[in-house]
Amino acid sequence: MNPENSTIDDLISSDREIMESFISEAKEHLHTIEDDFLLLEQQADNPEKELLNKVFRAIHSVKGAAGFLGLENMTRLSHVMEALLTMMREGEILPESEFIDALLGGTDILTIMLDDVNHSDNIDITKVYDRLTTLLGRQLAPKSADSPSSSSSPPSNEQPEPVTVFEPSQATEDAFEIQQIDDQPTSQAKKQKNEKANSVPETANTEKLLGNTVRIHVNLLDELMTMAGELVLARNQLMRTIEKMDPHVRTVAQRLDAITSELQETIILTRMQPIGKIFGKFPRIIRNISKRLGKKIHLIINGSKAEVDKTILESLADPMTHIIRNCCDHGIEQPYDRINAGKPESGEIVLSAFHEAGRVNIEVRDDGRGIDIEMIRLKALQKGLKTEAELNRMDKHEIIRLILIPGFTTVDAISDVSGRGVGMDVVKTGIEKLGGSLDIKSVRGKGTSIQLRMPLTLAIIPSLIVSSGDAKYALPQANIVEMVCLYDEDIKNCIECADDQEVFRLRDRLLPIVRLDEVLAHPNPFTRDVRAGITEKYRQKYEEINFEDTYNEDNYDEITQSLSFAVLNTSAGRFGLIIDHITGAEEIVVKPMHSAVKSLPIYSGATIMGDGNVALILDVEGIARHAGVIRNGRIDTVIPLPESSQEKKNLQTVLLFKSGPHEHFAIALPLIRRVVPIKIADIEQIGKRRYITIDDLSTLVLSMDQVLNVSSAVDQEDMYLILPRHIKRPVGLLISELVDITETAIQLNVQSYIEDGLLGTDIINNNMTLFIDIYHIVEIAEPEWFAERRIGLFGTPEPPPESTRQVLLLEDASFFRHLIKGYLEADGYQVTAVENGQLGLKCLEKNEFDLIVSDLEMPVMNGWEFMRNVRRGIRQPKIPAIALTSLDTEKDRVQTMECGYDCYEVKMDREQFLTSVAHILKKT
Amino acid sequence: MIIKTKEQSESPKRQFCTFTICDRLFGVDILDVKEVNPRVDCAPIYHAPPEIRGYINIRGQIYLILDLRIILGFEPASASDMIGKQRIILFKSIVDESFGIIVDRINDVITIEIDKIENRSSESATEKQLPSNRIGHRSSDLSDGIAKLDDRLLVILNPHTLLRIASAPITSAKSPLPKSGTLKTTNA
Repeated sequence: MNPENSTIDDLISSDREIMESFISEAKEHLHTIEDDFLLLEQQADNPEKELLNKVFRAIHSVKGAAGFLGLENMTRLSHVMEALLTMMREGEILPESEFIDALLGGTDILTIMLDDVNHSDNIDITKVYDRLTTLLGRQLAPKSADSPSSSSSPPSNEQPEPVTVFEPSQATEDAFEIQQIDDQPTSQAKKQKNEKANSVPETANTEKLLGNTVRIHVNLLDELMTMAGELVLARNQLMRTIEKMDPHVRTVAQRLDAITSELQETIILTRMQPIGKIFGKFPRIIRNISKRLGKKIHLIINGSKAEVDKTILESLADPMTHIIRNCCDHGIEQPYDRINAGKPESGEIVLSAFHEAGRVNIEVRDDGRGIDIEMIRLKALQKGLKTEAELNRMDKHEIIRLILIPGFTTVDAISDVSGRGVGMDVVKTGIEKLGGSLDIKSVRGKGTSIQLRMPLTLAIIPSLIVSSGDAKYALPQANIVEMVCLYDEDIKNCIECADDQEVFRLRDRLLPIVRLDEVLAHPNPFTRDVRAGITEKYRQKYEEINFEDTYNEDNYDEITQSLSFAVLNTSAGRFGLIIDHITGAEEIVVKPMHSAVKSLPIYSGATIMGDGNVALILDVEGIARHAGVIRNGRIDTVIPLPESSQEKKNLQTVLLFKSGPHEHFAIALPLIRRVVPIKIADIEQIGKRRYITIDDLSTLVLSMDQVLNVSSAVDQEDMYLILPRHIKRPVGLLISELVDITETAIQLNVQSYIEDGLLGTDIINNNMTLFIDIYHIVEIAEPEWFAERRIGLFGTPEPPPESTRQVLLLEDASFFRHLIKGYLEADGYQVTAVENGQLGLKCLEKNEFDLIVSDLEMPVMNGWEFMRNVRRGIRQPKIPAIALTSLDTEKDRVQTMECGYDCYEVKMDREQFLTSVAHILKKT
Repeated sequence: MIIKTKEQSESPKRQFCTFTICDRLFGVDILDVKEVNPRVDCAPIYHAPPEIRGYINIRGQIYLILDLRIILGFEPASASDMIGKQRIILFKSIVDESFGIIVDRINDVITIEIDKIENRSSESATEKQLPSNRIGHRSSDLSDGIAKLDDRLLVILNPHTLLRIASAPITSAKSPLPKSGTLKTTNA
């Protein structure tokens, strides 16, 4: 058809470059018009003029180029397509489904031919061609005479086309097809082609982009990348060799140095491509599938401009296609079913992509039937993938994730769309190989959402930029599970102390909390003391902040305080890292640490941020190790809740004081009624005893050295007297110095040092502190005071040795457990002490007891529940029981008695309690 | 010695980039120096020994900056009296992995004939110039020699050893400079 055909044939064989650029360009055209056809179909009634023109131009370009290259079949086919489009443009026909189908068919064949251009003329196009031609002929409009009905007429048809008006404007960029249209000498075309080498300008679908973008072959980009790397190496070598040379050369070399770095970074950027590139093909896929399955599916695409590294983009195409197919096949129901379910007839698939925290999130959401969890369970059982027991232990989310197991499909019949059971697992592996993750959410009857989180590139890591003090740090996103932000009172209330470690209760786990500031401030790995110091420091700090105060009328709604921490994942487990301030997310290029500081475990590298400052990249694992939250190779995060509340309860407020110059003493605050300052001069000596008048009562003064083997009280004018609670006779303990009142997790040690009158010892503020048993001290000093009770109860001042009674004691706070046990044992009872109701029940199963003494508020199983269980139980349902509690309201009393307790005692009146115990036991 | 014969003046010379630390004059061979930069805003590296001031980005490359005052055993500079005068000297990559030092003030480039440089044999002179009780390394490790200028001494530092000293184990580097107060010079 073209007089120059022969020369062009030669040209094809000799110059593959032109052919290649033709192919890629034509493919690009075809690729974009597919969407446009579909769009046109939707606008059937009133097609957008501009869109029609665009499609037309695309086909026209293909036709032109094909003709130029002498590709007979392609020219013919594109010509009829063009003719049909012309009619559409003229408004003679509307882009109805029938036409669009034919045009799409044409596009398909064109694409096939493009894949093997050299043999394109051997492909049978008659079917599609005839279909298109028939459609052309079917038109009744008067202009139909003009419309070409065969391939013989294209030249005549080309002349009046307004497109040629468009084309010249593109001419500079798009020499290729214009030359064909203008019938210019091919030699010039070739020349221009050669000048442009591989970089054929993009006749992009949007005119705006014209002139701004250039098409580059990927191989070329890859080569550039490699070469840039080598350039860096060469530069380094050069820098070494020219060290001693002329300063002028060195200046040039330094410039070279800087430029090379920039070049390398820019080349990385060239690999970024909009995700729309793969989204673009889905409308067609959905259209095809929905037709075949007889479903109506509407596709919505959001955020196709989000950019991703080319490698990742390419590898996403297959998994994404699979997901889309699944949505159509498994997800969206038949129109009939949808109407029955009260949904719109046509299903909706929403495809969205957005950048978030340095990653690209892709979501495919449908409003279909959702995933049938029961069905998955059933299938999993049938296929023997999981046992019944295993399935029972799995939650909904985990069951859904079973569809990611190889060989899993829920569709009974294998269709050509999906159901072969290979798929989701391949999708998952593919995604994970790229460093991404896949998550499925589904609500039965409402729809399914599949979320992919992909890294933007593999060379740059997305990070959270945080600041501490004057410096900024990068926290790799890959390590971050979530961010938690606490406001106002929550800061005080939600950060708790477990032993020496701050913890946060995140859902059902206890998360150890590490403070970045403190980690940075302590160059040596945390010791127990350091950790305890930090914990205490912040506890006090929070105590001081009165959050109520910061409210006033003006800023009532404002958040006055906030605290953020990142939940970080390490191979050992999770922990929280408290961060001063979050600056934002940034993608960073990792640079290794300087070898002089490489040994610092808390950093994994450094990076230059957008503002030119250097930020250190934090090594999450190293921080965890430094802060000592990794113990025995793992982080204990799954500390069950009960234990934690016990830990909390174990905190006991104690008064720290001194008597003699050496020893440190402590007494639990609840056991103290008052502390009064006294003057030594006011103490009166009566016989061996000393008294002082307090509140008009002659109060017996006891000093520590009287009863304990400790240094005698310091001789000073001003002293203090501790007046204990629950002792009927007036008595006071003489001390020399009040040290502090502190809350501490008491772990009483009875091994290192014990003496009659002491409960045990513990280390407080690095001092060995003696915990005194104030009742016992009084008893040692004045045995007859207590003898009355014993005589009253037992008939002798000494506990009856023969009648040892078994007492089961339930008390969660170890301090009280110890204390009460001591009281009971002093009266000759055998005591078995446990921490909660559950353990109490276990004890009851194994042993026989005479009495239960139980605290009410306990973890795991509280005292009420425990008692109900005891009373319902088989073993000893009638056993007497005393509730011993700090709760002291009428309501508590009633409730407690209703549960089956025989007696209610308030902590901690020793005499009263022991009397009750004796009375109850007497009754039985 | 003062009267230069033709022969003497032709003896090989070295050029030194000189700078001041605590009012004492030091120098490094100019061939080791890549550049002098007025930026001193380093990003601190916590946990690093005190000799390490931090990282700085100079045109896309990260340099580790050492505090020469601390390496030499002087008192760390207080921020207020150094404003605007401090400079960083960056060394070339042949010296060691990209690093630089922070100095109080930069002085002239001085040309000295090689035979005027008293080498390490005269260690006592070096010791006089430097606080000698610095734990962990001797000043002679740092110095290449001493040159007598007209009015003062120039201690020539060897940048090749600096990094090794700075990255010495924390234990030795960590100990504070015990007599730093007494070392503070009134005025040279």
